[in-house]
Amino acid sequence: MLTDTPVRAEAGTSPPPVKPARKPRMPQWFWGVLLVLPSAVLVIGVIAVPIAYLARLSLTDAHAYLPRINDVGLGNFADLAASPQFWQSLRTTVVYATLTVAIQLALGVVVALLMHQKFRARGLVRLIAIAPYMIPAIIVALVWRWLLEPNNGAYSWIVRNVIPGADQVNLLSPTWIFVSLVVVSVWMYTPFVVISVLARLQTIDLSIIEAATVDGAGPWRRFWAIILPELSPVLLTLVLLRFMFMFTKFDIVYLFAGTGQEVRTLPLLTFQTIFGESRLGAGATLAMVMFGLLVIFTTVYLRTMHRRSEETE
Amino acid sequence: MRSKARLVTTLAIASVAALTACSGGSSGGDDGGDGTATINLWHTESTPITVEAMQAIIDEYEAANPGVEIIQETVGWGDLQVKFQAALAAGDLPEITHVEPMFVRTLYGQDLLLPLDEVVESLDGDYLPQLQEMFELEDGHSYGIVHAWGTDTTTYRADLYANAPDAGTPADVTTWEESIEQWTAVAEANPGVSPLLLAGSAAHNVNEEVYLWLGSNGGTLFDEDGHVTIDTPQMIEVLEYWKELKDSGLLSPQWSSAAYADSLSGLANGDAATIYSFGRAVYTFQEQAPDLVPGEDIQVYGPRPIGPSGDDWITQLDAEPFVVFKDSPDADATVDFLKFFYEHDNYLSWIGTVPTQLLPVMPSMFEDPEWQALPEVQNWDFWIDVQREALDSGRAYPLMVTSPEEMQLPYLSDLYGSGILVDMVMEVVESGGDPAEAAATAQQRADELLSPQYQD
Repeated sequence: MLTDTPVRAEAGTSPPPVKPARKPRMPQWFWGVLLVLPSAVLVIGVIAVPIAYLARLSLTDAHAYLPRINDVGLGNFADLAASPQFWQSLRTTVVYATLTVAIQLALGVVVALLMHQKFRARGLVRLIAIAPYMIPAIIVALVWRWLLEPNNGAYSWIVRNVIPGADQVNLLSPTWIFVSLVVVSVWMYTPFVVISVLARLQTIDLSIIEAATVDGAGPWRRFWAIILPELSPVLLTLVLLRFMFMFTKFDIVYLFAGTGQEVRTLPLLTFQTIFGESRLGAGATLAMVMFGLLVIFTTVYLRTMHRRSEETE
Repeated sequence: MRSKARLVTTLAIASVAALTACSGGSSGGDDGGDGTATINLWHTESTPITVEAMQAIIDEYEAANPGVEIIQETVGWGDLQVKFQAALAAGDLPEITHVEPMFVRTLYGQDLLLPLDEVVESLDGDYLPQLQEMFELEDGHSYGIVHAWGTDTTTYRADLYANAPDAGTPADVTTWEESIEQWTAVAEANPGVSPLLLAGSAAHNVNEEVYLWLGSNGGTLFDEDGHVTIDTPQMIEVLEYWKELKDSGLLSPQWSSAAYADSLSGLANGDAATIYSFGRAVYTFQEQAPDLVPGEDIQVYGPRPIGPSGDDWITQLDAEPFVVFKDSPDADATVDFLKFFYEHDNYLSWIGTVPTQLLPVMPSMFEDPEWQALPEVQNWDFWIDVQREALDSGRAYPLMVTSPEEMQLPYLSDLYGSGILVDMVMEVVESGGDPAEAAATAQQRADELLSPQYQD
C-alpha cells in the first residue's frame, strides 16, 4: 500500500491512526476532456456529422427512390454552375435579401427613433410595433394572403371603395408576388431591427445630445453627427445578421408565395430539388453552396465584430 | 500516456454509443409473434368526418383484435412526399399509406411494396376492373388497392351560360376553337365574370392542365420508349391555347394565384362561369351559394374540348390506392385490417362521408339502397353519373398519365415535382415567352432530370 505519511512506532505510545490511502489523482487533462465531452458530442453529432454527410451526398447522384448512389465527383457542382435555374435562383435570393434588409433597416431606425420619444401609452405602442415578429410565419402568410386576395380581400375592398373604377392589380399574381413578398417580409422582420436599435438608443448619453442642442444643432444634424455614429455598430451587426437570415429564409417565402420561379430563392430551389425531383445528391450540392456562402458571411461578421471589440478596447 | 490513450478510446466509444442511441430505430410495428401489432396508417382524407369514420373503423377492429393498435395520421397532399421521403430515408415507413397512382410503380421498382392480392380477392370480384388494372403490375400482382375514386369534370354555372343563349353550354363544344368562341360569348353576356378559372394555384393546376390538355390534343408526355417528350407540336399548341385564353381575358386573372378553396368559391359566387373540379366542390356550393339549384344552375360535363391535333379528350382519374410496405413486421395484420376496412358497412361509412368525391370502388355499392339514400347522392346524382361515364369511357387517366403505358414508368413523380412544366407554362402565359422556346427549354431540363433513369 502506498502512503504519503511515514508510520512511526514509538515505545509506550499508542500508534498514531493510519490515514486512509489517497487515491491517485486524475490528471488535469482528464477533467478538461470530461467537461468538454458533452459539448463535443453535441457539436459532432448535431453539426459536424450532418455537414459531413451532406458534403458526401453532394458528391453523389443519390436519389430518394432509387437504390443508386454513385460517386460523381464535382459533377453536381459543375451542373449547378451551368444551370440557368441556379443562377436565376441566386439572383432572386440576393435581390430578396438585399431589398428586404435595406428596407427593414431604414424603416426599423425610423420606427425606433419614434418609439424612443416620450409619449402616452409608449409601452403599448412598442408592444404593437414588435408584434409582427411574434406571430408565427404560417399565420402571417395566411393573413396576408387573405388581405391581398383580389376578390374579397381587404386590399380589393379598399381599391373598390377608395378609388372606384381604378384598375386593380392582382398582388398575388406572378407579376406582383415578389413585391408582395418583400412587403410581407419587411412587415414581419422589421421589429427585430426596431428592438435592436431601440436598445442601443437607450444607452446613448443624453448629455451629449443636450449639449449639441444647446450649441444649436437641429434634429437632422443631431441624428447625423451623434445618433447615427452611435448606432453604426449595431446597424452593421444587423446588416450582417439580417442578410444571413433573409438569405436563408424559407418559411414565409414558401408559405406566402409558393414555389414559382419569380420567388424561387435558393432554399426553395433546394427544397424542390430534394422533395420535388427526389434528387438528393443535387439538392445536397445546393445546400453545400448555401453553406459555403453562409460561412463567408459568418466570417465577415465575426471578423467585423472582432475588429470592433479591438477598437473598443 | 497509455492511460491517456485508453481514456480517449473510452470517450470515443461513449460518444459513438451516445450518437447511436440518439439515432433511434424504427418505430414501426413490433409484432414479436405474440399477437400484438402496431399499424401506422397515413391517409390524405383530412375532412374531419372522414377522419372520424376511419377512427370508428379502427376502434371496431381493435376491439375485435386485442393487441393490435392502429394509429391513423392524416397528411396533406402537399406534405405527403416530403414526409414520405423523410420516413424512407430514416427506415421508418408506415405500414399503410395513400399514394398518388404514379408513385406505385416507383415504389414497386424499389421492391418496397407488399402484394395486396388477398385484399383484392376479398372483394370477391366486386371491384371496378379499371381500378384493379391500374395497379396490377408486370408480375401479375396487385400492389395498390384504391380507397375511392372520382374524375375531373367541367363544372359550370348554367345560369351564367344562359345569359348567352346562342353560346350553348360546354356540352355543345367539341374543339378548343369552339370553346374560345363560346367563352367569348359568355364573357360578353356576363360583364365582370371570367368564363374560365382553374382550380388552385399554378403549382397545383399547371401539371394537371398540361397533361389533360396535351392528352386532349393527341399528345403524350412520354414516347413509346418512355422518354419525355415536351417540345412537340401538340405541346406548343397547348401553350398557344393557354396563352390565348389568358390574353383574351377568358381565363381569370387569378388562374395562377388563387388558393384551391378560393377558386371553388369563385364559381359559387359567380366570379367565374366554368372550372375544372372534382366532386368535393359540392360542399362549397352548398355552403356559399345555397340558392343555386344542383343540376340546374350548377351542371357538370365530362368530356373536354379537343385540340387541333387531337381526336379524343382525356380527363383526370383521381384514384389513390392504399399501399402496404413489405418490410413491416406487421404486414399480415395490416392486410387483415384492409380486408376489414373494405367490408360493406365499414367501407360505406368511409365513402359516405364525402359521397360525391369518394365514389365507391365496388360496382354493387352504386345500387346499394343505403348508399343511394345519402343526401348528397340524391342531390348531386348527375355529378356522380358524369364521373361514372368518364370512367367507363376509358378516357380518365391518373395524374401525369397521357396514355395507359405511362403508368409503367417509375419517374412520373420526378417530372411532376420538378416544376419544369409549371415554369414552361408561366414563361409563356405570364411572361409572354415564345411557346416553342419555352417548350425546348423544358425539354432540355426534363431530359437532364429523367435520362439517368431511362431503361435504354
